[in-house]
Amino acid sequence: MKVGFGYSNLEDSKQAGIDAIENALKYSGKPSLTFLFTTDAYDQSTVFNSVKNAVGDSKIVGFCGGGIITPEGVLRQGVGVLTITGEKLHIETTLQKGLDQNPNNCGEIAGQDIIKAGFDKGTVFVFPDGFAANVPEALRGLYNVMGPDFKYAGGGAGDNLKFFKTYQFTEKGVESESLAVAIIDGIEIQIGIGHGWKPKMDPMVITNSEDKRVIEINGISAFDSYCEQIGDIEIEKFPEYGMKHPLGFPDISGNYLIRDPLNLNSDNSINFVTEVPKNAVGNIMEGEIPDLIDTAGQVALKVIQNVEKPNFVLLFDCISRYLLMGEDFEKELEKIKEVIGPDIPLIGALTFGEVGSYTDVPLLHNKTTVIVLG
Amino acid sequence: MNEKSYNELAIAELSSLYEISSILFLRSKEEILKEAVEKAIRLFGVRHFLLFDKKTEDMDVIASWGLKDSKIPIKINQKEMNQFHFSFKKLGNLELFMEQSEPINGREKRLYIMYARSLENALLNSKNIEKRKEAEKALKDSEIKYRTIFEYTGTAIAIVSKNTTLSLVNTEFEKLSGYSKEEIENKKSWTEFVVKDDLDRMMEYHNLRRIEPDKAPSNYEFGFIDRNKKIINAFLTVTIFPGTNNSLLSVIDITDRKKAEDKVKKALKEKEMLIKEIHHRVKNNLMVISSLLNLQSQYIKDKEALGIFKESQSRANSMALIHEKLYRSTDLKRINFGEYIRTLTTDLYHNYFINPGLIKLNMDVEDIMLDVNTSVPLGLIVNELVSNCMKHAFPDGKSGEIDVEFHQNVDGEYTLMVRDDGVGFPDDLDFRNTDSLGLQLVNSLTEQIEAELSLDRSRGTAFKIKFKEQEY
Repeated sequence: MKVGFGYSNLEDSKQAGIDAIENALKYSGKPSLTFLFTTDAYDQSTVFNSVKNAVGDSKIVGFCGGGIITPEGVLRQGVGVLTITGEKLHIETTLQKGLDQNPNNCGEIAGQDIIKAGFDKGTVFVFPDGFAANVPEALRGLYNVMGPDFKYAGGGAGDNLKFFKTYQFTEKGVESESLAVAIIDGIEIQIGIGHGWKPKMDPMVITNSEDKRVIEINGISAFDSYCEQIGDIEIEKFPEYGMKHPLGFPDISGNYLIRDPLNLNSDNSINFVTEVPKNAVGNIMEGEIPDLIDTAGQVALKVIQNVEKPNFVLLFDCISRYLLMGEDFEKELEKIKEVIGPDIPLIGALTFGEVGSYTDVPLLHNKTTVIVLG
Repeated sequence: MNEKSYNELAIAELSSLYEISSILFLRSKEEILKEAVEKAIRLFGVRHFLLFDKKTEDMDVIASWGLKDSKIPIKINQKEMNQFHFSFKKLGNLELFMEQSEPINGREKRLYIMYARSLENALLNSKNIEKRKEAEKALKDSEIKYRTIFEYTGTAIAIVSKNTTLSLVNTEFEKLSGYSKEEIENKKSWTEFVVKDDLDRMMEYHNLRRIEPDKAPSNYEFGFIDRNKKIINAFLTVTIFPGTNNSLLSVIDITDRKKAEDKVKKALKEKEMLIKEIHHRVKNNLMVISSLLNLQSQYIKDKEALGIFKESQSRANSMALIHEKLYRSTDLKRINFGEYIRTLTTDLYHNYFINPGLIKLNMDVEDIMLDVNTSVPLGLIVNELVSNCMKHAFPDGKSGEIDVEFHQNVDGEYTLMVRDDGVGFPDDLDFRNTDSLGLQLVNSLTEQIEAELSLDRSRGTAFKIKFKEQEY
């Protein structure tokens, strides 16, 4: 198996695509699968076509994210590719529209497409529109059809925090409000997930919510509940506070599913990046940057222990985590590289929701790092 | 990443417990199942979830997760350490199955059991709520149905309490009474709408209906007083609601019907008077004819001609008698023919026999009502046969008996018999083919009423006529 990776921060869409893929192809040769990650400043079709022209009939999967993670750091504008070549690889992709209208159905159809292609094991990469109404539903639909015999990883597409439009890719083309899925079999892949957030105060009950909008916590408005827990918050500065204090919902093993608050509504309800279930019990979380970095290192350590000779690293890291850490994000990246090895091809994207699992089933996380080691 | 501390696990467990119990807050089955599956995934991370009804061989899947189109490719084995089974005993045949990759430890099992019980109770509550909703809906539908009937039946309807208060009235009742519902309901008594003459009787029925409902009449007429004190002829139908002291009454304004009935009655009366007048005039005319024949007969010297005049006079009398009976009858179209025979025969008897002691007249006649269309020809027949007896059976002062019988037979036919024990009908005379006008009339009239005429000469003379009354 050969792996190549490349990235470019050229401003021209076509040149950036060519620049990134040419670097990758030098190592992998003609690929079987191409991961393509972009940012929103480009003309997505132009980037896509320049890469597709170069990779020929390679399967392609990817999305436009909040930034490109490279071994040298994050590109807020850039194109990143990872190309994998191998005779024993078995790959299939699917691109499903209508994620916003019927997420569960969208996920199920994507799953059926993969199953129909003859897969009974492998790693599934899931790249949904991160702004869609209920992405966890799509993930549940996908899993409901495919079941536990597969591994799942991925992240939500987005933009540079404009929250306007996202793009998903497969070799079939570029779509928005869609779900891009790829499966790869014939290669040992390990997936790790972690965040480093810890509960700050007492548990709280989500007493009223509608999808991504949390209306009440503990029977009062979501914002008032936040204020009760962490003190008075200036309304204008809520996104800043929210970034530092997401909600965390524990499973019975004590692993917290993070939900990232985005902004405040006039009725003091709070919009989150991902849906928050009604009657869920969670805590306001806090995280010290060293803890977050340390957690990323632990995740990397866990996955490297199970892969004898790693060929590549795919990294899906929450954009909010990156914004919070600022320059310290480089340290997280260094930590991961340090654990996995500095020469392993690494590419990734800043995501709007991360797909991974602590147990048997994949969930959509926020403010989390997902490390895929193949 | 690190092993979780006791405190971290305790907090996680408490949070999970709250979430598990929160399923009980939900009311609809769909909500419960959706949230239960979501919690099983997020809290427990189970890779398979199956809630099914095992009563059928195919397993009726209620909810599932991670089972590839719910085709259940997994092997459910109670002994597998990573599988959880729970029977919902309160819900019959429902079974919960959950599976994770790792063996289920004691702590997890405890929480799974609590989760299952919470789910079972939530589904039970939902089922009860659903049942109650269905019952409430059925009740509401029924109420709407009956209220619609109550309101739109087109009749004034009211519900009456034991204390005579009108608790509910419909729009028609408003129209009939002239009061609005607000003015009537729970404020007025039905007694305020009844004329004084009917009040005691209706109050008696009201009370009786609440003691012995079957004994109180359920339909009757009464005088209804409206807001303007106008009296309306009303027809009341009333029934008691089973098991209550409340009654349902409907009132129909029959004023127009009454007027129409009175009109018809009046018209009928006028018609009766007219018919009576006609019968009276016919009778009088026939009597005039009879009197004329009588007057003219006084100038006739020829005995045979005189006899013919007398016979005609007698025939006119017999017909006059029919019309007299008709205008005196209450029926106008039917007369008591038995009574007619008695009168006619007695009159003939007194006309023919100056010395009645020699001839005995025996009459055995039933009081039978016959239509005028039968009565007129039959009356003439009786007149001819009885006259013949009196004229020919007892010549030269011979004594004897005349029997006249008239009966209805078991088969519904009628028999008229005129018999004498006199000299007998001449052997050489064929009663069906004779020059005698009287017998010709008898034959002709017998045919007219489709009767069967027979003659018995064994002892005197006996004419028997059997007939069935024709429908006219």
